[in-house]
Amino acid sequence: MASCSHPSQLISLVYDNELDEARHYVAASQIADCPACSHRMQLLEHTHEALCQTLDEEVSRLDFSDFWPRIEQGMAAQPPSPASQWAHRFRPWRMQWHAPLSWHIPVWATTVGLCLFAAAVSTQLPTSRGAVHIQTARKPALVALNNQAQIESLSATSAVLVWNEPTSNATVIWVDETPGEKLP
Amino acid sequence: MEVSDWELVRRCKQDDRQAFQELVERYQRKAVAIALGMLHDREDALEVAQEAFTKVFTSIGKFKEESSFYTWLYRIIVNLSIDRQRQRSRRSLFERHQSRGEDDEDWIESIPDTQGLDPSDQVAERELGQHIRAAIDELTPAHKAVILLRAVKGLSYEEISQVLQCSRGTVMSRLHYARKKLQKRLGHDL
Repeated sequence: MASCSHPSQLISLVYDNELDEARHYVAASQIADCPACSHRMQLLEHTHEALCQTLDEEVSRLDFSDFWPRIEQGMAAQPPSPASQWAHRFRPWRMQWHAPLSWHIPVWATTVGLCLFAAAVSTQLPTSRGAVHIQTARKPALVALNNQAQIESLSATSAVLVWNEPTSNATVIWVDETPGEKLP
Repeated sequence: MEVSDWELVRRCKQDDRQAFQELVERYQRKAVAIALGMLHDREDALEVAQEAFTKVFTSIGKFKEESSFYTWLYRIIVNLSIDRQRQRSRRSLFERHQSRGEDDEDWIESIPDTQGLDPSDQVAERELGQHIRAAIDELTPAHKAVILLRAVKGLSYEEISQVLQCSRGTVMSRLHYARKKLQKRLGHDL
């Protein structure tokens, strides 16, 4: 047999139809023009045909009449998995509700969407209020700029004592709303 | 119109045994052919194929339908066949010799009925069958699998790579090597 420089794997690719149309055309032309490649291609075809024929004939001689019953026996012998047990229990329920539920999918989807939106809005509101509250709570820092503070929540009966510590420059404010209670 | 594999698989997932029976009948011959090619024993091949279908039924709920049904089925058959081969190879030398003799007889009995052919053609057919069997026997399980998947079902390289869970390049290389070896072994028979 004459040898050639064409890679032998190319013949397999052409034979198995694994090249795109353009490459297949080029490679097939090369093989047709090269006696060594044509011979290899023929060998490939014969090997494939002989193998397929042998297997097909062997299988055609087998008796498949008992095939399915034996599989059924094997299936019956298998212990059911916990998941399949649950699936079996819920099957009648699923079959009963599958059709009505599938008809109303848009309605269900809209309802669930609205509920989620409402839940999201309701969880956001306290957070935004909290944010305002935090900002308000920080404002006394500004009040201290001119060393003035106003306590609005004090009632007329509350007693207030302001004490300043000159060494540490700390100011302590005692507020007592209990009438008659002595301040320190 | 034939019901698609997808539809049958979907019905199997709902515990529909009739759909499963249809799938079995659709693929039983191809499944047995692959197992037979791997094992070269009719009883073993039928058992492996039946075991594979039983496995398919019990685990069909886990099948994700990302690949086609038959690539999944063939993967199970190839794996079970390789396991069966390993079990066989662990058997004692005595048993192996005895079994091999029986297998050979089994195979010869199963050679196609060649009535009507010229006696010299009959001999040639028988010889070719025996030679092919011997040639396949010499291949490694990985090479056997790749050449059988290509020959029996005509799977593409991509599909074979899905069945064997290897790259397309590996499929190409294994197929090339397996064919070369078969051609070399069959020699003048071709």
